[in-house]
Amino acid sequence: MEIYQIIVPGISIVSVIYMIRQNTSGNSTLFETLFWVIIWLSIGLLAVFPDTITYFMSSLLGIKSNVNTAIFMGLAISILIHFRTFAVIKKQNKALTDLVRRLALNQGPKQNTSS
Amino acid sequence: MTSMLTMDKDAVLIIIPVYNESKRVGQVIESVIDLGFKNILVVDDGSIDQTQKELNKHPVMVLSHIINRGVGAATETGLEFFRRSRQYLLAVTIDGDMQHSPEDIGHMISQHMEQNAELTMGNRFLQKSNSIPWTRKLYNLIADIVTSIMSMSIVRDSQSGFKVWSRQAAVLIHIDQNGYEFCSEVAIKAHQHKLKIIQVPISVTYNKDVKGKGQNLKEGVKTFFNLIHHFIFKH
Repeated sequence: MEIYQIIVPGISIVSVIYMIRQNTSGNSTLFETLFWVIIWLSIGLLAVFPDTITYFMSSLLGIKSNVNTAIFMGLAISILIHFRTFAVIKKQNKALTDLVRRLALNQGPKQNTSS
Repeated sequence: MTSMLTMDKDAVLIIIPVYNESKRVGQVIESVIDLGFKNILVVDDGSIDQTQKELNKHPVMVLSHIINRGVGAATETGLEFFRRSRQYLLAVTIDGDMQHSPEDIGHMISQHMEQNAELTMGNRFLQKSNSIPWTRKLYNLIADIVTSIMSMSIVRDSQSGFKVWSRQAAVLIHIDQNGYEFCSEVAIKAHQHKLKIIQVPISVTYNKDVKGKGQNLKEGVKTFFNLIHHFIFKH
């Protein structure tokens, strides 16, 4: 077993737990959570069973190359960056909603009297 | 039960989140008024059609979002108003597109009070006469399974926005999700806070006008792929 086969699944598990907690605390939607859980579980499984999965994938796609590791690492880093970017966007989105709500409540309800 | 309900109508705040509902919101408001409810709060979620003009014709309170933030955000704004207004004992959230029947409000409140519930959820699938498209049934089934796993409880019709809220429920549950996912969020948080939740059968109408709106399989899949597209191509 290689060292990355311990580190990568570890990161995957932590990320899956993080996403589930984000969902249960209301900070991510069901679809967002499912998307990231599937992505992180796939990365974890790919790290644990690289030969089995890459053999299957290469058979499926017709790609047979030793650059699999490089591609895999690139993909993992790319997703990690997207993951972080996504969190920042969510935070900004929430701030915008809070601002819109505060404006509406501070202005108070317009009372219509016509019927 | 009816007398108790009549007595309490002034203590009930009806919250209607709307976005571009100029054709239907008037009908919802008039139906609610006909039932004897006077305290109606419409949260206009940045509509760009004639919704504001339509709302001016009715004796309602209107809170306006300057831009569209989603039905979850609009519902939370209504609930925040409820939290700050101590004169109301209960809040009812109902869609502004006539999918829900305002006629069910009385029955839901009666059941809420009779069973001493803290959150009452309208359940479209308990009413046998409802004709629900299979795509919505499938979407709801998937959402119910995921919501049940997240809340570690059996949750049915987690996507219904028709609810009766006690003050306790409104104080404990703050909605963070802007979109339709807020329904699952409410169910999950209600279970986390161990609130007494009951489900009451409600009728629902999916007419031609509103079939394309709201939560359905298409909306769910669209959300999913929009998300992927957004991440991959826009950042």
